[in-house]
Formats: sequence, C-alpha cells, structure tokens
Amino acid sequence: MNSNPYLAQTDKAFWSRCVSRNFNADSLWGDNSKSALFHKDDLIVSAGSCFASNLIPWIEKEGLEYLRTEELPSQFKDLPENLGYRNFSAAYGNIYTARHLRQLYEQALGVRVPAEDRWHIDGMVIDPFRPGLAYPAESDAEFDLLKASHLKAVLTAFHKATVFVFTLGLTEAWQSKVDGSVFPACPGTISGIFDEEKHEFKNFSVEEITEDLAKFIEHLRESNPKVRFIITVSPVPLVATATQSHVLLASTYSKSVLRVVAEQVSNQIENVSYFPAFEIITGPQAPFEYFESDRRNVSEIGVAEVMNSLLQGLTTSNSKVIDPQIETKQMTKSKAGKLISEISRRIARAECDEAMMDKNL
Amino acid sequence: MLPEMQAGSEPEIAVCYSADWAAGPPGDKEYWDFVVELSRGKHVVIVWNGNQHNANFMFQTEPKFTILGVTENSYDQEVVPIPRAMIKDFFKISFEELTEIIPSLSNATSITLMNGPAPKPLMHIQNCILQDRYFTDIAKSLGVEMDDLVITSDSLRLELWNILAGLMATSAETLGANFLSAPAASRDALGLLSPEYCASDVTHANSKYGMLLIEELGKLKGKVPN
Repeated sequence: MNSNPYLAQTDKAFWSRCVSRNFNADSLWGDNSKSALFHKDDLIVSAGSCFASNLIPWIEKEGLEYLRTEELPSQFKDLPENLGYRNFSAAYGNIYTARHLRQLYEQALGVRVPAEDRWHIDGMVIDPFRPGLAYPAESDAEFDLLKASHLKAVLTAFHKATVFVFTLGLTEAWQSKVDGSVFPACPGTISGIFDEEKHEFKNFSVEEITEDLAKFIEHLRESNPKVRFIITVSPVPLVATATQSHVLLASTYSKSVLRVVAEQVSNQIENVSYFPAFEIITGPQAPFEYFESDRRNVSEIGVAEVMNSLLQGLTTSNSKVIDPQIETKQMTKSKAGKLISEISRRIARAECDEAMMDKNL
Repeated sequence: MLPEMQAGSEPEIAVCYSADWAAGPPGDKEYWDFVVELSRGKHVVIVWNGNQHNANFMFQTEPKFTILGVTENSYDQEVVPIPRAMIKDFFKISFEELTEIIPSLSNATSITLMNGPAPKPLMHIQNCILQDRYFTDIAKSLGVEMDDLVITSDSLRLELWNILAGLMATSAETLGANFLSAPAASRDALGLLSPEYCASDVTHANSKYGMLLIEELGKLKGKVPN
C-alpha cells in the first residue's frame, strides 16, 4: 500500500471512527495541548451572548471563582432584573458582537466617549448600551454616577481576570452613524427611538470581527498580560435578521463567520483557546433534544453536555484539583451580607414590637 | 397606641399607626376594621411604618452602597451606587396595604399620612447598641463579631428616610390623602432627629417628640380639607 498523510492520522481525523460511532464530546479538544483551560486559582470573567452566562453556575459549583465586581448588597438581590445584566462579572449584560466588547473596554479605559451616550425617555435616563436595565437613572447626575461605577467595575473585572471567556454571538448589529458605536439592540426595540438619520444596520465581516477581537485581546493584555482567553461560538441561532435573507440562511452565515474568526484568533494569538460548544450542540451527531422545541434555544441537557465537557477537561487536567466542597468567596460574601441584614431586621422588629421587655424572645 | 386624641370636648382626630405587617393577618384586619368604625366623621392621621430604613439598612451592607444625594465621601471605589429607582422599588411593598386601607376609610372627614421620625445620629445608635447586651447577643447568636458591624452613615440613612418620605407623599397624593412629614422642629441642622427628641433606644423618638406631634396635629385641625 502506498503511504499517504492520512495513514498517520489518529481516529479523531475520521468521521466514521469518531462521529458516526463512538462520539465523545471531550475528544473534540481533550487531547489538545491547550486543554488546561482553567486552573484552581483562576479568576474567571465571561462575556458574550446569553449562552455565555450559562457557564457561571457550573463553574461556581466546581469551586472555581467567577469574578464579580459589580455586586448588589443582599437586600436587593431579590429585586427583578431584566435581560440578565447582573449575570456577568460586571453588569454589562449580553455582548453579542466583538465590536461591542472592544468598545466597552475602550469606554472603561476612558478613551472612548460615545456620541449618543444616553437617551432621555419618560423622565428617565436610559443607557443605550444597557437599554433594558430595570432601574435606570432618574437624572443626568445619577446616570453619570451609575455609569462611572459600572465602567470602573468592568475595568476591575477585565484587569483582574486570569481567564476571559468570550462567546461570539452575532455578526449583525445596529450602530451609530455618527461614531460607529454599536448598540446591543436596535434602538426602538428594548428602549430608545429608532432614527434613520442616526442609526444604521451593520453586518460584520470575518476581517472586521477578527480585527475587533484581536485588538481587544491586545489592548487588554497591555494591562493584564497574563490573561488567557477561551473563545466559543454561541450555538443559538439568530432570533431575527435585518438582512434580506431567510433567517436560517442569515444564521448559518453569521455562525460560519464567527466560527472562522474563532479559529483564526485562537490559532494566531498565544493563550487563546477555542472551546467547541457550537459543534457539541449543532453538529450532525447532536441529539434532537439538545434544542428546545423552537429549535433555537438550547435545552438543559444540551447545556449540561457542553458544561460537562468543559469541566471534564478541568478535572482530568493534572494542573488542578477541584474540591466541590469549597465555599466560594461569592457564597461567603453573600452569607455575611444576609447576616448583617438579619441583625438590622431583628433590632427594628424588637423595638417595633415593643418586645424589648422580653429580650429572650 | 393612641386610638383617639381629645381635641376640645369632642373626639375629632383619630390617630392610628400601622401594625407590624410582617406579623400578617388576622390581627391587622381586625385593627383596621376597628379604625374604620372609629374614624367616621373624624380627621384620621395614620403614622405609617417609618422604620423601614432601620429594619433593612441600620448596618453597613456588604458591599457598601450609596445613592445620589448622599453627601459624605462615599463615592469611593469600595462603594456601589444603587439607582434611586431600585431603592424605591425595594420600599414600595411597605406601602401597598395603604391602597386597601385608605379607601376603606371613606367615611372619615379627612385622612393624613404621617411618616416616622428622622433617623437618629450614628453616635446615639452606637452608644445604645454597645451598651445593650440584647443586641450583642443577637450578633453573637448569628456568629457575627460586633467589631464587624458598622453602622450605616448618617447621610445614607437620612437619604433613605427622605426617599421613604417621598414615597409616602406620593402614596398620599395618589390615594387622595394629605401628607404630613416629621416636624421640622424635631430635626437638627443635618436633618437628623435632635438629641432632645431621642428615646434611649436605637430607633424610637421619645415622649417629648410625641408632644410635638400632638402640637402639629393641633395645627393640622382646620387645615385639612373637609
């Protein structure tokens, strides 16, 4: 038999041997030299589309620390919040595009001030870059205070992170015609007013997204040189497209672009890993049940498969040992806050109930 | 509780205050049914709650927070600014019962909502807590060291109280009632409860403050709409 390059390949190179049968999600990346994705003492920050927030409870359950720099006192934690802003390390909410991520960091550094930085609507001051916040500012002065604090929290999180997980979500976005600032949602959908004179549609190319992501990594490493990156592509299809295409075609295009960007950036930049959440959920091997019946939202078992695969790599790595019994700093802080709150309540209750006469109560 | 106050020879003003709503029914319903009967043809003054800022924020939270309007140097890196809209939403539930109670008093001549006294100075609270074994025992039972408990600043407790006053004023306006805030004479230059009106506990005003309220209510008589 003549020699050829395929003869030297292992099973993972052959569809019939590792996809048609014996599929194991861990094999997608488990023998990769970059497989040590997390270390025991990592401070993990994540950003991206909503799929990125799914990661958080899983890694915290494993005793790893998800860095949170914009937490609320425990008294306020039961109040409603829209769109999961506070799911992330700082309350930036979903960041669907690499351009948005890059611009957020530039704002936090103070080198970028968007021309359209606030909307005055119904007596409230809305942040165009967090338009769904449940509690917007009541005045410009309050907006400035809240925004400055938020950007400081972003900067702290980004600069303290030892691992930054970014999930690429969309290529389509709406931006300012004035200065190119990208909004997380089309003005007029969640809040704001759409204005053709000021807002325009943008469908980012491979080159543009690659540059945005690479620039973000480069800029962040100027202040945080050791941060490692894990890039994923969200398997969740577009909810809608602003192009003339069928949404399925637009979604396939968008995810294809993002997948190419992830490949290029992880291949070209040191300490950037690609984790194949997209393939685990959308590959032909994936069970029908990995998506909900709307064939868009990833089901719980689909999320579990991705996370188990991610954490399987974690526990098999010889560089870290995870103790599930570890009480995270997050849990400790939360407990302390609740205790202090409880003391306030008991004192007020005792005096209001006039129960001071019987202090054994 | 002062179920009724004499004004002249006829009882004309009924004063009532909210019970501990956390205790729940049926006691509250019986109480307010009684007030409905008592208030026919009278000016009703409701001293509604007033301790929410203490009940939730007497001690510095973790993380520390501030709100726009707090004057001290609390806008530092360690302090999280909380939207005022969030604080209002947090307190909103403590006013919800008013939407049932005030319409039920439709036979009253007038209805006035009144808030509690202004917050006490930090030093006063600190002295009360440190001297009272009851409070140190509460902390001990919860496994909290007294040294770890930091009383919330005067400025923040005052601003929380101001927000509560604003919410009560809004409730009064929405429900067609009058609003009467804590007497200005009871407050010091910073807006806190003056020492002469402080009871010797952590949260209450004293009987002298009560007399001041009665004076204010006397002034109110004749001013409130019939």
